Amino acid sequence: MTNEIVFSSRGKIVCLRIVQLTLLVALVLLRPQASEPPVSWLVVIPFVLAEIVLYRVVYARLTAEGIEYRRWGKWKFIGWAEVEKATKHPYTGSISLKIAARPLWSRYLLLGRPTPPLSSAIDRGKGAATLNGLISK
Amino acid sequence: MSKGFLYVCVTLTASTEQFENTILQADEWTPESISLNGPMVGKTLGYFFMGDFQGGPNGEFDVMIADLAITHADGTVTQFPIPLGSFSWGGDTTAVSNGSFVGEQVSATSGQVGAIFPARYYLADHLGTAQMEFARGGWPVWKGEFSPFGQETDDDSSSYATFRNLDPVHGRFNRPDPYVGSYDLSNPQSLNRYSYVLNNPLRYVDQLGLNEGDYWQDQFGNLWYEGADGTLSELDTTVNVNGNDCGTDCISYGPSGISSTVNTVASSDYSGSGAAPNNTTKPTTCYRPGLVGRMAAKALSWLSGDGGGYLLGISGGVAGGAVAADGTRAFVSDTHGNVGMMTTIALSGGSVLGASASGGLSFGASNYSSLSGYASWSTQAAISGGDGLGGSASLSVNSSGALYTLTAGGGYGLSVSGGASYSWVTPLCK
Repeated sequence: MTNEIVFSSRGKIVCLRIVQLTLLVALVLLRPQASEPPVSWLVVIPFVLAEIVLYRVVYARLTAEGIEYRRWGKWKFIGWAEVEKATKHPYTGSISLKIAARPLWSRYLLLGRPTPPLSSAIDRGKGAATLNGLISK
Repeated sequence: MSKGFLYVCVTLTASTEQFENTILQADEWTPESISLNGPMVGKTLGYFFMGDFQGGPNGEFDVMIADLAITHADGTVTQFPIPLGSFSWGGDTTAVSNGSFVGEQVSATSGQVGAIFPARYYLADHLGTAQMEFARGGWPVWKGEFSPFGQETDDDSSSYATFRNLDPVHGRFNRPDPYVGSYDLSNPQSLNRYSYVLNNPLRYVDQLGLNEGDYWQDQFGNLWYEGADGTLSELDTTVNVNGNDCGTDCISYGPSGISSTVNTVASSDYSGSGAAPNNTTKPTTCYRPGLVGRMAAKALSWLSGDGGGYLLGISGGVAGGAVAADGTRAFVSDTHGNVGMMTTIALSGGSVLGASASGGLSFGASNYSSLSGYASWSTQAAISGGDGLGGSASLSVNSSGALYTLTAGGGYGLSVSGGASYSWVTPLCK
């Protein structure tokens, strides 16, 4: 499995989940109180949006048939035929996937920067070339 | 002692011995204790009317005897002169009715309070404990004897502080502080639940027995207490024991006048519309931090000084396309060490590097000279990003100065944005 292409790392994702939980607890502790103006509750919106976006980030690995990603301790599979759209962040190299026919909470996934880079692994397996093709669409 | 009466009228500093021999004439009237039912407990019998026993027309009071009885705060009544014998008394049926002397006891039931005119005045110590009691004419009718430290020498009773009693000899309350919100890990003295005003009686006074600072007095002189849940409670000093508003007829706040009734009123009743009970407006809106928050606030206050203020809290936000939204909720201090809860909402545009999301604990610095009434628009610039671990940095500038914020936590992507933010600061509750 040394030639396996992974997105982000397990350590980073674990840290991200811990941070998400910490942020949630801190927000509850610092929530607006009844004695404050109701408009104070607007501050919750950016936090909720950030939590939603960070929830989309998953640890994943590339296979010839598709992408496997880990969520709630289980590996889940996405076939290439299910990938509706794939985009690559111009500066960080992370990849955003839109999966067809999936529930809303698993339709949009964010993958970290692939290691090793896709361009260097195209010759090593079918998966890298396929994903590269989807991004280039 | 024949000059005692004149002496106390002029100086109001009579001794107990003088008052007994002159005012209540204890040598002529046998002191008695009587039991009175609920409506009379805690009140003074200022005047007592007796009528019709000398053959006068029914409904008229033929005899009025003033200053007959004293009912103390704890409900006991002392020095009541009881005439011998037993007789019925009539008079105005709306004032006193169906009352009777039975032997050497006076019985009274609910509804027979028409003859009670609360017209006693109390001289209290710093805790509000009565030290001396005066009749309407200024005559002292009771005076306690106290040691220099406040202990009543003729009685082992302790000073009354509404929710607890204070032993002035040992400087300790008889029960632990019932208000759990007065814990403060940054102040070890607060962990001693029996101590009086953090063992600093030269600086603080605690009339309620709820630690210092948990209550305050509004502009109308009413005492308020705020619970841990933010509920405001008015310690009502203007109701009698029946719960009726007796206005200025009520004796002043103190152990002899305060009712055990606490009117609990939800904070929402004081939203600014409508009249509050007793024509009282809500005190200043404040944010009540929890235990961790109080420690953070103490730390910020300690760190702050003329060099600047600090910020500690959480930030979170997203950026994508042309819009970025960020929020910050943090304790912030000014250059004088004042601490408040700052809320910031930022709406920015121009995310030139793509999309990002980040959130986490925020640290910052400011050079705000004051947080009093702070509410301001700022121009803001921020950069955020990360891959798993991440964060953001932002700079807000307004007329009060600059606020630098660094957030460390979780992040994804990379973005740079600029726009405007609006911040306001809520002061912390005492």
